[in-house]
Amino acid sequence: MDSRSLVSEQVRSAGARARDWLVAAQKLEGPDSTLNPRHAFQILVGLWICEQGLIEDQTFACTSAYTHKVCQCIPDDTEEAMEFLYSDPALVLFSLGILRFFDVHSSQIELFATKISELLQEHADQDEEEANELFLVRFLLRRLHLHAPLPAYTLHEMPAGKLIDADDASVSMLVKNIMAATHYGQVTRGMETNFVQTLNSLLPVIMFDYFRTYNLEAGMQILRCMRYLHMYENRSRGAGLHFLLAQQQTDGHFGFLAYELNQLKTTEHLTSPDLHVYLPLTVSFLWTIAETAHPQFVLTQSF
Amino acid sequence: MAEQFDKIYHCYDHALNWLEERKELFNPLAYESDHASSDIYLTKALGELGLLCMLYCRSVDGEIDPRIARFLDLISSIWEQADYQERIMRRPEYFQIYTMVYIVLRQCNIIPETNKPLIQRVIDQGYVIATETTPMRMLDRRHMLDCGKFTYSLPAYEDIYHQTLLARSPELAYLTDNDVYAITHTLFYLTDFGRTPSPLLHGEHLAKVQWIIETLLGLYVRRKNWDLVGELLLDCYCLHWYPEVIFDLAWETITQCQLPDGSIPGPRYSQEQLATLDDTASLHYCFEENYHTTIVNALTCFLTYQELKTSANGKPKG
Repeated sequence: MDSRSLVSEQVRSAGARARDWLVAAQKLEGPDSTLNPRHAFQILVGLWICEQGLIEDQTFACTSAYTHKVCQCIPDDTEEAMEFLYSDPALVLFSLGILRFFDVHSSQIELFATKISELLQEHADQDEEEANELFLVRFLLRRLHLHAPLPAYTLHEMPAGKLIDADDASVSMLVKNIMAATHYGQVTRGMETNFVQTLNSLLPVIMFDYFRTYNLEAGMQILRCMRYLHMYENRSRGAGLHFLLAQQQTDGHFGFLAYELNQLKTTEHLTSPDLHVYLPLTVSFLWTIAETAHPQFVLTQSF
Repeated sequence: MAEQFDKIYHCYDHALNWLEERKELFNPLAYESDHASSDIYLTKALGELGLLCMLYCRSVDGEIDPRIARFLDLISSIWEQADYQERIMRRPEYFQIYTMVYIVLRQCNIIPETNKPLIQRVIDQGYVIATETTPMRMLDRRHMLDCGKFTYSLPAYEDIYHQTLLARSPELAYLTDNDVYAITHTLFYLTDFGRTPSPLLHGEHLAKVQWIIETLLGLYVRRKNWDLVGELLLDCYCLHWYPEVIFDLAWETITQCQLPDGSIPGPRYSQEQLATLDDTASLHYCFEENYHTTIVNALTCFLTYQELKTSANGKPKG
């Protein structure tokens, strides 16, 4: 086993429980008795992470079986389909990569990918912030052979005093910048700088601060960044993983958000919290746990 | 490096001035009070001022800072009062708080051992070592009795340590402020405030303890809790280990947060609340909210300054 790996039986059984929950979530329907395509894509990606990144089940039984259902969820009307696909291009491109892995063809998704590829290749990013913002989509397009090779992105340095006080918006920008500058962990040449040393010390601090306040998504993004910066020796990586595993409910989904759900006013979230709240969060947990426990697995490069 | 030393020393110097200007507020005998709690509060504050003096005196050879000498004069004058000494016998539930003053004065060679048999008799009665408490407080009790060179029967440091939160490698994301105080104090007592390396802290366990302290230090710098930042920096001194990046960052922020009058703001201190108070109430408010944070940081500044300066082969001030 790779010395950087934190894979354990606990991680595998968490993956197996989450897979069971995702399989059951397929049966959850919206008010019009159909599964929202967004949720279908989220389930597909979640199953893929479980089987590829956590359980390491090379038969991919559940993911494979689900691929056809995903295609059926896309609206027949092309305009309607495109409107949906543009609402979360990264999720769609993740799904396309998985569908291609299983040789399942969806002309609508392929068409969407081609269109967004044309759009982005013609588009010049206005500034560093926009470049980082669009990096994930460009990166996925590149993986799908629909984008020219990506240039090097600069890791934007900031003083330690500013980093420790960074607010949510600044942390979010930093996280996107790290993902872009490292190409999701593929590029680390020239990263042996004092600033990376500063990140090695301060990213865990910010991660624990988010976990303490139960801002799970923000904490998980930082934990994933630690993987992309190859901080394998950092003890906080194992501690962060331990914390995440403790957030799994007995039926397999992640997070304890009854309090936040009670604060939500929208009926959509209240009537099916499993789909609207817990499904995207669970996929995020699976993504983070897989990349932390098993560094060979990087979601954006997994298909 | 020299600039950093100067900043740390200046922080200590400025904080000590603030403490000296308010030293009479530490006197539990100065105010007529029917409230036992305010008496205990001031006695505790006096003990903390005494601890600053004791650890200062341990770390310097030769002449001591005249302000430290004046603090010791104050503490000594309080100790000389029969009214104060008798509290040890009359209120053994606060034995540690009252006896701290004796221990400080003995460790600083200010008073003879004359009162030791009387205090030993209170210990021998059994109550003060039998009362139930947390493992960290048990370490505190044992450490204090050792400093006073008393005889007693308590479990070994090792046995007590294994029951503490720190020894059990807690999940960092769940730690409350009180938990972190338990951790910082555990290291104070285990290392005798940096005087003796603990045989219990070595190898993998020491590395884990260092990681806990480093991460918590970063967390409390982010939360601007200068009380715990000061205590965690003191832990770094106790371990004679200074984590890259976070240690420098913590010092930078501590020196920046020091108020113009020299005090370091405590966790509940509020400029807005201060603005609503008259002069007398302001004086007491600032003292109550900031005295502990100011003492902790003054002590940490001084000890760290001494150690860093010595290890850099320079000549320490003071």
